[in-house]
Amino acid sequence: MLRYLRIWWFMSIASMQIFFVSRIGAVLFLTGKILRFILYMGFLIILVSKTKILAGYDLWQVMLFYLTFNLIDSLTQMLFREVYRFRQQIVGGNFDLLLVKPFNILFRVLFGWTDILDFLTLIPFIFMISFIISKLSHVTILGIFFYIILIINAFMIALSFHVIVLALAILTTEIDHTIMIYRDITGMGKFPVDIYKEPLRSAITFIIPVGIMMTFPVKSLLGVLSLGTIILSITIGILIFSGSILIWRYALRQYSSASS
Amino acid sequence: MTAISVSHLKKHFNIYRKTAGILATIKSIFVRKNEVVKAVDDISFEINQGELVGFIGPNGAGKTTTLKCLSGLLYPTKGKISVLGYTPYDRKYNFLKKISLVMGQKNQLWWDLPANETFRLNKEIYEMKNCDYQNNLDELSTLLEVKDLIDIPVRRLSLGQRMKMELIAALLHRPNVLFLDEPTIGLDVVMQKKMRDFIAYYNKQYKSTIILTSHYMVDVKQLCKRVIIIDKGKILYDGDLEQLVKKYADKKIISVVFEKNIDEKKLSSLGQIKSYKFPKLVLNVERSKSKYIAGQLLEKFPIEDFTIEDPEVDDVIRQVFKEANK
Amino acid sequence: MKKYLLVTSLSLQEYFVYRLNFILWRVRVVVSILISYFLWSTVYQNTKVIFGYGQSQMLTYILLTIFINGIVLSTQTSRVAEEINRGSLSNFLVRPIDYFSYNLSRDMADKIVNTFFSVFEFIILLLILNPPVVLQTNMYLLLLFALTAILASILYFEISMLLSFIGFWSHETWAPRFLFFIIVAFLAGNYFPLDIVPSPIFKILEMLPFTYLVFFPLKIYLGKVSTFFIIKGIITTGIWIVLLYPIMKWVWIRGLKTYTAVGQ
Repeated sequence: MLRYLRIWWFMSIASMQIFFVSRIGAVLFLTGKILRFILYMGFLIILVSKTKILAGYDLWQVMLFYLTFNLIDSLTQMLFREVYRFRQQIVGGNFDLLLVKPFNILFRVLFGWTDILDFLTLIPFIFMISFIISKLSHVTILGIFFYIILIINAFMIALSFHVIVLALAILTTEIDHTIMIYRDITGMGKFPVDIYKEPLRSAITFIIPVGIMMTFPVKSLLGVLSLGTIILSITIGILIFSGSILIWRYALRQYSSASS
Repeated sequence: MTAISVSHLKKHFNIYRKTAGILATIKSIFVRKNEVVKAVDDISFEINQGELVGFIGPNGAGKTTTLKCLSGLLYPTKGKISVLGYTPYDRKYNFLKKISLVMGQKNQLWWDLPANETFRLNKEIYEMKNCDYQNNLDELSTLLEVKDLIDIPVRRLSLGQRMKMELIAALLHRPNVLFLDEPTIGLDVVMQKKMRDFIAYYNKQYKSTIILTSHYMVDVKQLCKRVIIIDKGKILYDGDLEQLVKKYADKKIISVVFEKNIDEKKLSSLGQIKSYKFPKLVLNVERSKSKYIAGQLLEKFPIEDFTIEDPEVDDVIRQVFKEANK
Repeated sequence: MKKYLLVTSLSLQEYFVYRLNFILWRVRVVVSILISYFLWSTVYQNTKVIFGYGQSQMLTYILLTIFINGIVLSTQTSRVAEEINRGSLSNFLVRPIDYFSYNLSRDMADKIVNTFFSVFEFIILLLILNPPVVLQTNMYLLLLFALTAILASILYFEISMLLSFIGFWSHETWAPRFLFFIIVAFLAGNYFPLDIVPSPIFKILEMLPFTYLVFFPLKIYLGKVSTFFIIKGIITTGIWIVLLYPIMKWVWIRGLKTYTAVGQ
């Protein structure tokens, strides 16, 4: 366990050093992401200030949904940046070199290139979220507790999806667009999924569980989610996670039985 | 008739030096050490129409830079260049229609489409007539044995097949001057030979002027009568390859295969032992003494096989470089 | 001339080879529009008019952005930076072919394919979502819409080429373009019509070229614009096009000077 933590730390430091080599690029990326966040939030503020409510939520609540989405999204992107390089490794044959190392391959291709720089963006998110929570009325400790639990659940679902994407990459070498489609669909979670009409809403709540990932944590904080739904969400999360590991194992088996 | 004329060509590059480390990185934002690299440092030569000339030299010698200046890709820091009467750097279309540049690994073929699509595009780019295009294409694809491959997407072809397609694409418009930059790099031995044979044939058949850079000696040996040796941006030798060998060949190489194992000490008196691994001995001897030494060997030792040769071109050229660096 | 038509033809063929890739790209475009669409749809559940836009106008605006993106913002000029960096640019320099015309021809292919699909998607979305839309019938406005869209494509071509020329001086080509995409998406009006922002900010936006890429043509389509607004907009677009052209050519020449065709 400790060994994995150490190795992860080294890989992250290495990726950070690359930052100094192409620092302008990294800074521009960061600037782009920050700019997009600020501009879009500006837009939301202008919009919801005018309309007063959106799908039954006031400005603070809408912001909370948006910020929670960004928190989860940034966290996943930060940790799983290596997945974006995966196609390179499969096509270039690097994957084979990784397979022969005494190190869990899944861990390596998920966490191998953590973006420390993105970590910096998490801190303001956490601050802003805390600030807004303090502004809300009827927030309970239990609510906050479930909020955190469901964010962890969201992270687990995101992890599972990345594993599935990796498995698909091994089976089909098509990855660039699968991962972007994942991002686009989870992007629908920047607003409470209530805004979407049926049957789309159910589809993205339960089938591709964007709703569970992004909307439910905030709803539980606001106290509008029943305990039953919370337990259901966590169960679904666990199911998806187990499923993804199975698919991954299957893909690996297929890979080693195919020729190059 | 002069096809190419180069006069006192100089090409300098500016490079910036930066040492490693974070402090140096920060410093480099404010101050950077500027260094001038003289890739080509005052070279002059003339090449006639129809000649096949080899540019040889180690990596970084200035061969590719010279070629790029000749094709108009780089503008000279100083000096004059004239190719087919044009100044390459102006990149006039009439000039570009008459030349062709092939750079080893750089492709001009559209990767996902069949090669013949790129050929059709080149036909339009070079404004060729239909009949010329068809004739040239048939001839080249037959010669290179790829006639049935031209409608297969390029990415499905092997490296050798792709190189052949690149060559066809470069030659379709029958350029008067052909610049080949490391054409055999990365190819297997069989392909390399095919490539060389083809280039030799092309030069003979169409009397096009060909400049070839390579650091494979065997390319030069087989193809070029005339060589220009470049090192560190300067011309060390420009002339006939055979003359070069003769000039620097004050030695001869004697190769012997012995019947029985001979003590090395007895052999060392004869000449400089280049290598001795039973049963083969390779000796460097001075040209004047070679006949005598040969006689001694045949008389005194039990010999199975025996050859006297001129030194390898490689060795000659290595010697040219060694002397230049003294 | 024929050579450039052939370039367009070859570029079109490439899309066919990468058809899965392309389909997935279109799926992504549609998904991102859906987010905007549902957002505004929900807004109009409680309000009739907001920022001066009625429901049908706003929803039409959002849906039409797919179409306008296809015409104006589809480009392959982002490849230029990579071609410069990799040295493939040399392949064009040693041939009697004009690099600018070559890029225009490639772009035509991109615009054709994307616009074609966008019409298709627009119709499908209309059928599925059944939103109230504005169908412009004023021929005059429709012609102006077409004109401003074409002007916008020319303008965007110049801007994008200029951005790609960064490749002459830097190895970083993707990061600047990423930042550029984000800026353009907002400032061109892809997420919302630009005149919903506070007036002083809008006045600044009107002077920038980006406003005329998406927002301006769409606003004309929606109608209810003053002649003054139209004329002012077309003139501003024209000024930017004329201004950027010599800058683009100048940077190109400077860039070529610096360009040392990268060796192996």
